Amino acid sequence: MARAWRATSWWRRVCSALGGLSALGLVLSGCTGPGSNEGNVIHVAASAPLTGDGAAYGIETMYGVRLAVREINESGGIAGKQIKLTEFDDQCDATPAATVANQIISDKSIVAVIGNVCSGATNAQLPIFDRAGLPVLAATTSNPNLSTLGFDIFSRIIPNDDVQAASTVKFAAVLGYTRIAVLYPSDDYGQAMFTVAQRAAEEYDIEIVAAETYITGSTTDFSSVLANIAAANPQAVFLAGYYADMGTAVSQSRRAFGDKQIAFLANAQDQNQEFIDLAGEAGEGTWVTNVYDVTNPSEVNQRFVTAYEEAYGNKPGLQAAAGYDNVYVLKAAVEANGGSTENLAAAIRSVVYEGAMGRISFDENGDNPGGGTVVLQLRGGEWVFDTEKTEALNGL
Amino acid sequence: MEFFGIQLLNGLTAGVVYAMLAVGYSLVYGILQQINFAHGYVYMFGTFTTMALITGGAPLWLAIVVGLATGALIAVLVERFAYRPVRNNRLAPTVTAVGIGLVIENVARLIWGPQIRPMPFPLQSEYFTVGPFVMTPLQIVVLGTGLAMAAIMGLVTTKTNLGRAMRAVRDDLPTAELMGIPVNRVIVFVYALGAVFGVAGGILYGAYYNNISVTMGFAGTLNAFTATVIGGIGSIWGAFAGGILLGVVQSLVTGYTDSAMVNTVTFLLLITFLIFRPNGLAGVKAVIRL
Repeated sequence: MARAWRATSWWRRVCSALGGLSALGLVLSGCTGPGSNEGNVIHVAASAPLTGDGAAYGIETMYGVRLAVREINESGGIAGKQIKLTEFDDQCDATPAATVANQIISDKSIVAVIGNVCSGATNAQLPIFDRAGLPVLAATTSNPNLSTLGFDIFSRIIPNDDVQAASTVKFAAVLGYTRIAVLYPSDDYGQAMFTVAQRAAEEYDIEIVAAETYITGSTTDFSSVLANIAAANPQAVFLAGYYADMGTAVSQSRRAFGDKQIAFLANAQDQNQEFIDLAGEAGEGTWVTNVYDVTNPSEVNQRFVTAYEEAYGNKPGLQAAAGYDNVYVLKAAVEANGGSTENLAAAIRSVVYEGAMGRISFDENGDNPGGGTVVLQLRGGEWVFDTEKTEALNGL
Repeated sequence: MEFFGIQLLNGLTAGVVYAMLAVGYSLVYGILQQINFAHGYVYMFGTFTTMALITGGAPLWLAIVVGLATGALIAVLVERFAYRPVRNNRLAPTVTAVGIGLVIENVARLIWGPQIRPMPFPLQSEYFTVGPFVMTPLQIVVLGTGLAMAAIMGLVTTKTNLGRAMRAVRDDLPTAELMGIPVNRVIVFVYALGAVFGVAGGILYGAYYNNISVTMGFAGTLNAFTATVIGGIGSIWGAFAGGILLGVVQSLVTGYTDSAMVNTVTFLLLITFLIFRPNGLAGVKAVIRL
């Protein structure tokens, strides 16, 4: 037998040896079961856009997540176990997101996914996570369709777009407008925003006189689209897109609108510094409705704001608050589950938590039914909380 | 009618920007039959340099000049280290171009971050009305700059010795060399000039749209390259014509149908030209290298 071995070519011997070693390796690695923890660590994955157009959202969300993880770990962790956080960049795009999801499920020590920001990207990930039974507690993916897919593993912190867009159109009614235009991106998010806007407009007797779309991440020239909108003479434009596109569009609006007084009603995605920088002078007076504001005087929120400022040197926004509450809701879920990470998805849905974003709870589809919209206006280069309009909106 | 006029004006302005970017491609292709894939990244870097100087408080003219110079310098370095060593190979320069382009993009990302940034520029919020038309002085600036640079380009190529040397190298490089023309220097000049046009286009783009990112080189390349091919690759006035045509078509499509159709129409236009008039608007004859 030894003679036969030596008679085979050198290459064949090497391949056989390698093959044997690999087989052994596979068998050994398979011995650790799925979903097993490394003892006293809760391994959580965060998937968010860290590069590309959505980078501002994803990075800010991650700041909130990291702050919460640090706070929780410093005060003893979750049920005595430290949180181990691994971050993944889904680039706010379906294809890289699916790749990330596959990477995550191949690491059997991860027990939950948090931090998701982009609906389109997460939509691509959910079937993959569902196959592995991995619970997803998304931060700010707001497309309503995500909770209609029947994935029991899915929950989200943010009230979805139906609620948000409806409140912006409702606010147009508060301001007394009857003719509006809608500017929305041609992706999943934008289409959804437009559909909801149409429904809400009907409900509040508002006419949509112009609806213009553009390709997010690709269109930078809004001149023609804005000229179309100007020609329809709306009283206000509902900016239903991401901050980079909307800021750019607003900064180009003066030369399209001329002397026409057309107000801007932005959605929550635009309430950040980048929008202000991009929109420039033309952005003054823009209204925004939101599900979170940093000036919210609640104790939880003020504590969060102080800690965030100390850690990062600037004030947090919705993304950071969602990322922060994300981790605390997960903590509440594990604690309610008796410290175990089995069947976490069901435990998450049962949580009622008072966070920086107010009361967070989940309905049977994993949606946050919402606890009170706030109104702000861009004045003097800053988003200013408008108490009067907030009360008017919630009273309508 | 006035709506048509507004959209036409939008299209012309966008077209001039495309044209400036397209000229860079045509210049290099005309001389060396090579598509300079690094062009997009070079003009991105030059534009960012200008933006950084403006936000840093430098006077506008200085920021622009330094931006143009930076673009030219990088283009020259790219030519020296990524193209010249492999000039005799047909395929290698394409590969090195993409490689050096990625390096430039990621260096820019390291310096300025991945976010989209505004480009502060005077006149961005100004507008004036001429009868029913609403216009901005910035449009005049863009159109004026485009015309001026086109005129300068025309003068240089036809009236100067350097221009004649460029045309000689384009027509027949080996013979030009034999005739005593310093071919390497002419080539370096062509790359630098292409970069200057590119960065000028990039600055106008940033000023007019107020939106720049480190990926703008690649993104802008699609439109600029389409403009180049439509105009006739290798021809400079073709690049201008192609850019203007593309800009106007895109604007009118948005105005009269749907802005979602823009990419479809752009590529249909490209395909139509490639099938029915592959030599482009300028009717450039293809050079066959034996």
